[in-house]
Amino acid sequence: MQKNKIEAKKVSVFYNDKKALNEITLSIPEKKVTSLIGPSGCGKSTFLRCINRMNDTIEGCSMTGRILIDNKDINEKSLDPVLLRARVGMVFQKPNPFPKSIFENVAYGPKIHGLTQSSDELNELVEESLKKAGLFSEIKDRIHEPGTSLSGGQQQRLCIARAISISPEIILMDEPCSALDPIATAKIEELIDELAHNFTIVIVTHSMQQAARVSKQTAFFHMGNLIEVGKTDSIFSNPSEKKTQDYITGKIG
Amino acid sequence: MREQHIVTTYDEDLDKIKSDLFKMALIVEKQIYDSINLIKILDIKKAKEIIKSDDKIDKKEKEIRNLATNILTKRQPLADDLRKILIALKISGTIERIADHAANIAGRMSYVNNIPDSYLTDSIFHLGSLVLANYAKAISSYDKDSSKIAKVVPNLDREINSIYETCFREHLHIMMEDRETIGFCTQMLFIAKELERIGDLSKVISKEVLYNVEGVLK
Repeated sequence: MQKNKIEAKKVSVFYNDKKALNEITLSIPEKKVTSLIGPSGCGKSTFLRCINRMNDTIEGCSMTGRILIDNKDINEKSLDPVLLRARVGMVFQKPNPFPKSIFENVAYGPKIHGLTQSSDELNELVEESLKKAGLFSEIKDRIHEPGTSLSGGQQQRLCIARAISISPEIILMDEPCSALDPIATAKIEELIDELAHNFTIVIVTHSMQQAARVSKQTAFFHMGNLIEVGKTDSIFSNPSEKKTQDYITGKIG
Repeated sequence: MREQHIVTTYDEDLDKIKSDLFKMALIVEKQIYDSINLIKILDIKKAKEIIKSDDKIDKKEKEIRNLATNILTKRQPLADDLRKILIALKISGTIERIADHAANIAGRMSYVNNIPDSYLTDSIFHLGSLVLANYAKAISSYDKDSSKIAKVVPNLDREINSIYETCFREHLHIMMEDRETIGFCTQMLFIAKELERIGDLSKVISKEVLYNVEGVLK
């Protein structure tokens, strides 16, 4: 039976008095890709940021309801958000490599979390992560050059390598391809397919076609509400809700 | 009021594929009508016209296919929009085959020099009238996006199949009773088969309409 990695139960998020998310209840299956779609400002990115408690860092932002990962509430006081973020990696819209070498970008996480015992082990882990991100063969001769010297698509894969270097269980992606050309996008999508064998992936995307291509489950958000969630194939071929249909077909309604 | 896409040219594209396909369907309806009339009134000139106009239908089908390809490329449609394109492709192909059957009927009738005196039945003409009516229902269901009309088509097709069987037995008897009719009746039996196939293909159109309206392939 399909195991759910993440369970959101009646999650509401407020920015001061303004309610950004309204009692979202959503299950996210393990080692599968779930897409979050919806118009700008619908709350999908806010929801994504609840999963690794990124919203904690935003002043005036508060949350009610519960988010469980492996049946454990991630908002429990005893849980260190830094450790949570080691389990829940994140890739952003704009590639954001550190102003360091390619090697250092990937080695940084394992170093601060003390994941390796020796420099050989660290080298091996960096190479392995870059290979998993499909980047190693392209950059192996210039691994000590700045990460910012790479192309946009390569930088994004470097950020993915950085995220997976600390062996997270979940990877959150917030429009990871919106700044990339079609070839770089195709490479990231190929990578998402590969990564889904080992990680639970939640991706926010504005491209319906991308959601249809990469994910097994799709959730449609609208004005802070979860309108519909279901198998991606059904959502894009025959959605149950009119709002979903209008959004994915680009109708005024 | 009908729902509109934010991009108005998208609506124009979808309207065009629908109106082009409906126009093609109407031309073929006239071809079926004309070919059935040949059973009653022999007219070699008309038969040749029907056969010739089949090329026009082949051309129309290609135009619809090109239009559909263009919309798929430009718009990457989803959900009901995607179904509209998918069914337009399927229905245009189906109508093209129906036109072939109408041309085949005209072809058979162009071999007939005269109707034997002892051939008194008009069962094939009756079969043709039912087939034409059912085809008209199928294309009307497409025009109106009506699952209600589409659901009538398979029921009528069952009736058509039953009448086809009766026609077949009846013509065997006519041939047994008067050997002079064998040549003519053989052509008529081929024509009955062509009509029966048009009936089946009308059912295919109605199924596509149901898929479009209800979103589920049955």
